[in-house]
Amino acid sequence: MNTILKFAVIAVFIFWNTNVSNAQTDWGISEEQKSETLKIPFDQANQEAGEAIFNTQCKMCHNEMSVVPVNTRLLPLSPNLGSQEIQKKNSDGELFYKITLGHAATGMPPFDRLSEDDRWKLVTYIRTFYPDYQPSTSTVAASPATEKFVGTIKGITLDFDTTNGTIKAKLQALDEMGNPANAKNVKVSFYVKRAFGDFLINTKKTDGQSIALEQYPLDLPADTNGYITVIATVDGTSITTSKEVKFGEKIHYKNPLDEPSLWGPRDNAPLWLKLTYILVVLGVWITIGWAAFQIFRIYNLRER
Amino acid sequence: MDQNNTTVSTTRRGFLKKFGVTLGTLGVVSALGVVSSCNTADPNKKFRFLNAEGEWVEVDITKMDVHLTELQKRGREGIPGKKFVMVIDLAKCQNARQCMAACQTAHHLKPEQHHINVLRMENDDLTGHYFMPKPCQHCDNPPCTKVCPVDATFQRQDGIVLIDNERCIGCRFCIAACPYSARIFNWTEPKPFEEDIDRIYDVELNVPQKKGTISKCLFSADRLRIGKLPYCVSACPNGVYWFGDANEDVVTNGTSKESTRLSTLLEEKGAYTLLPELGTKPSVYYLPPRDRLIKYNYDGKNYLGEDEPDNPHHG
Amino acid sequence: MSEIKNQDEKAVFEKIKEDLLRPVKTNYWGYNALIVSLLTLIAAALYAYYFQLRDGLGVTAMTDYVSWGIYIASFVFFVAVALVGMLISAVVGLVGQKWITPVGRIAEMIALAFVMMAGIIIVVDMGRPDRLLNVFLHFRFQSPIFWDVTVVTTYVAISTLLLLLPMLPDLGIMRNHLKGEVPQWKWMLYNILSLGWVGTPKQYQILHRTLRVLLILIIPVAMSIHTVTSWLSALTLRAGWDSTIFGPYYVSGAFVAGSGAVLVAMYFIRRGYGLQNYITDYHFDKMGKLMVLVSLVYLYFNLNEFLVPGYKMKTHDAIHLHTLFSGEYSLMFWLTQTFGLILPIVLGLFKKMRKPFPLMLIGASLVIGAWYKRVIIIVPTLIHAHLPIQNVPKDFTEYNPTGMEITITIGVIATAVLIVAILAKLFPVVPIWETAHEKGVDIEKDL
Repeated sequence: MNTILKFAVIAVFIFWNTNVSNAQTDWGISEEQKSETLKIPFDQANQEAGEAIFNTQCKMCHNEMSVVPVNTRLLPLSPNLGSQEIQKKNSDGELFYKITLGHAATGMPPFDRLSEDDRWKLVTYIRTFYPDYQPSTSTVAASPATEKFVGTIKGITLDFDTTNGTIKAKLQALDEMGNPANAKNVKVSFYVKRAFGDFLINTKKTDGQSIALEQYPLDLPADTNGYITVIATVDGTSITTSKEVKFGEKIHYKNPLDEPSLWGPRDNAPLWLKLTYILVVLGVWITIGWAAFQIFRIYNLRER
Repeated sequence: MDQNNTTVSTTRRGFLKKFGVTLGTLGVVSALGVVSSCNTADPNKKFRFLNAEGEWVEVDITKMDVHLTELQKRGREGIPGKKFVMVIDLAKCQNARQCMAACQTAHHLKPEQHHINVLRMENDDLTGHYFMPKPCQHCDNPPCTKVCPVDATFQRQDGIVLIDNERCIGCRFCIAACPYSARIFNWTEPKPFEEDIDRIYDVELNVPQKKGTISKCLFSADRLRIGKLPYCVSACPNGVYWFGDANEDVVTNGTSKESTRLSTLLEEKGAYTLLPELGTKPSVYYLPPRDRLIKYNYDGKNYLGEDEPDNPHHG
Repeated sequence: MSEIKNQDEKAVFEKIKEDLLRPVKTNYWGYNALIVSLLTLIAAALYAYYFQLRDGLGVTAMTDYVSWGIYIASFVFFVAVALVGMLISAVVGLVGQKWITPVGRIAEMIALAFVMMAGIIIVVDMGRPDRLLNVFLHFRFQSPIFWDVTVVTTYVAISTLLLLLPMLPDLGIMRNHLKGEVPQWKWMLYNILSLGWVGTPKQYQILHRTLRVLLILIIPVAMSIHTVTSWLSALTLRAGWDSTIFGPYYVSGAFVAGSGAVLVAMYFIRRGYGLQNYITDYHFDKMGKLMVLVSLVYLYFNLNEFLVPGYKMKTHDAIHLHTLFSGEYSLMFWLTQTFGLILPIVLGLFKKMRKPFPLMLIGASLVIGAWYKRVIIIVPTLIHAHLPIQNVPKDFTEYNPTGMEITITIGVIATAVLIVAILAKLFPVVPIWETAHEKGVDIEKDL
């Protein structure tokens, strides 16, 4: 009974504590700073640059962002910045200075080591998860080179050129009318299957023929037969395919425990060690045995 | 069986008081243990173990030895073609201790028993503090397995150093030999767990723990067998851990699930190993604690809030 | 003329025999009190060991950091004391020293008792004594513990032979002269153990040859047993243990502890059994000189063991040495070094101090000092690991043995003393035949 009570008290305490820290976190940002607005254009180039920074600097804590009404992650997990509540509550300036100053108690470090430009790029990227966002800066229209493909992608196939190590991914797509079409400027990510996750080689955009090309990093080891599994995924969709191919360097793997070792980690001692040991011990015990036999001889001489 | 209950809650009472939550859980669990152990042994009794697919399998008492031997054989062989490595990014570690908690839960450890321990390090008075998670280093030249008289602790072909507590005689020579203090001993009856009753010992999980035997970090060999990251690696909220197969040259981050080239990561971040001068050749690499995210102000208290004695150690 | 000589010889032999066999026949209340108190200590230890078996090694003060405590320290101590058998009988005996005659058997009895207890306390220290057989079922050639098991058993075997073989002529005498004077079972024991010894020249020839071989063989075996014991520590990477001279350091320390134990045993046996004419001041003087000699050798190794790392002060060596010289173990360290090493050397240089009583006190100080020295070798090193000791209760960073483990350790030491006491009561401690031979008596005629 006592323990249950204790448990309850502590649970309540933790809950209360978390709530308080969520509600009353003071980031020390002045009104002036809060009123600052986006300093760089809200365009695709900046958003993509922001995504790259996010992936290396923020993602390990904030994880994937997704558009959700409210954040459900609790400390010590960092919040999902795709929460519309968070997006709505924070001005551009607040986001920028929260990144800049950090907050020790919540575990958010200061990122003042990033350049000001990089921090604004992060803000642009975070804002792409806020459909109601009204950018204060110009939203530069995408240039024809980066024009987005409109239509549906039906599938993806993989092809390899083993002589020079190129990977070719071809998309099957339909345009808005439902007719087969070439999907241009679609991002395709190439992965190699590894033990605990897929290793991203690169992300490429498709050309006019719905083809994305990628060079396989030939120094990446393959399995013991020289095969690797390549995975190609159309970004932002669940369309994916994988295929085995003879690429890369074969692992020349040898079981390190096959060889007997002197003071090795297993019971496979080298023969010479076993022999020396057995011979020495045997020699001593034969002598002891001989001495014991002398007792027997003395006993046999008991009659004068 | 009442024994288990009293041992745990009397001898460690003072200690556990500080762990309200743990004690609550423990109380419930041990109570369950007492209840379910009331069943006396009968020949139709079933024993259970987790198979390679991570599912519970029930076996007859007569077949128990067969399955125990099978699990031990599998555990001793290891996974062919692999060489598991861990990379710990000290710059990211914020002492969240989720790794320690996940590990203790998985391996049924007591609060003071650590397979992985987050240490507060201070190389010099001027260098400030940083946190260093310290699992078993899974050395390629392991001082511990060398000295074992009965081959109870051993290295497998995938580089993992395991302990077979069905064979261990409890001489504790391996504790003396390990320079990383990575090994612990079950000085008393282990923490009682309901699911450990009638469970066949799995050498890759070292559960059930046994009184009078060694326990240690296993790189979660049971998880690796089913292609999952170790418990500690998956539990980290701060992206500290990278784990993978060195033969594939790719490691995966336990938090972001992002994969990266091992060789590049080690080279670019200036990785090092712990106490390299001892020649143990660890499988755990550390990335230096530079540009630490959180500055830590040490107040002279340990994790229990007690004053800590002056510690003359500098890593 | 020869008649008179024969009669003289006979009288001398009768006197020797009477004196040396008196302890075997007589009941001493002091002896009985000793046995009872030892048995009480052993009973208390067995009771404590029952709790250790039931609750695990947690009843001791050992923790995950200080994982070896006074059990292992006592193990090293037992092995150390046991080495004296080899020192006295083999080393001193083989270089032709005659004065060891009344001391050799005491040394062998101590050796046998202590090496057996060394084996016992290792089992006491095991977390799973029920799996003792695993050491033979799953042994690894590369493990020092396996080497230790090998050499300890070998040493037990050789020590037993070295105790029994030189006793054969005495057993023959006892068989012939004690019938009816001792209980029947005792006489039967002597009869069986005497192996039909009648003392023919051929029997003597075989005996001397076998002894010579065994005395040579025991030197490398005894060196190995203590060297391997030192390797249990020295083969690890810990500061304070990671030393290349640990083998000879241990062996020389063993001789010091052993001579101390022999001095104490000599004193009490001489007094208790009234053997002043056989274990004389001369023997004490010689033993005292030997003690000074081995202590000087030990001092030399101490100098090497502490000065060399102390000069360089490598990180972890420095922490270790600070603990010993001025830290939490400094009092124990300096007391041990003073009473277990320096004082005996200084006092032993004075002829006045090489008398039985002072030597007994010095010997006791050596033995106690030797035990504490083993604790100092084992424990402080473990307290200072390479990495900080954190996230564990405070008592993990220190080691204060519990009542349980002290009781058990005392019980095992009591068992060793009990074995010596029983052996020293059952058999004549001073060899009758050698004493007689030295006095020019041909005992074979008498048989």
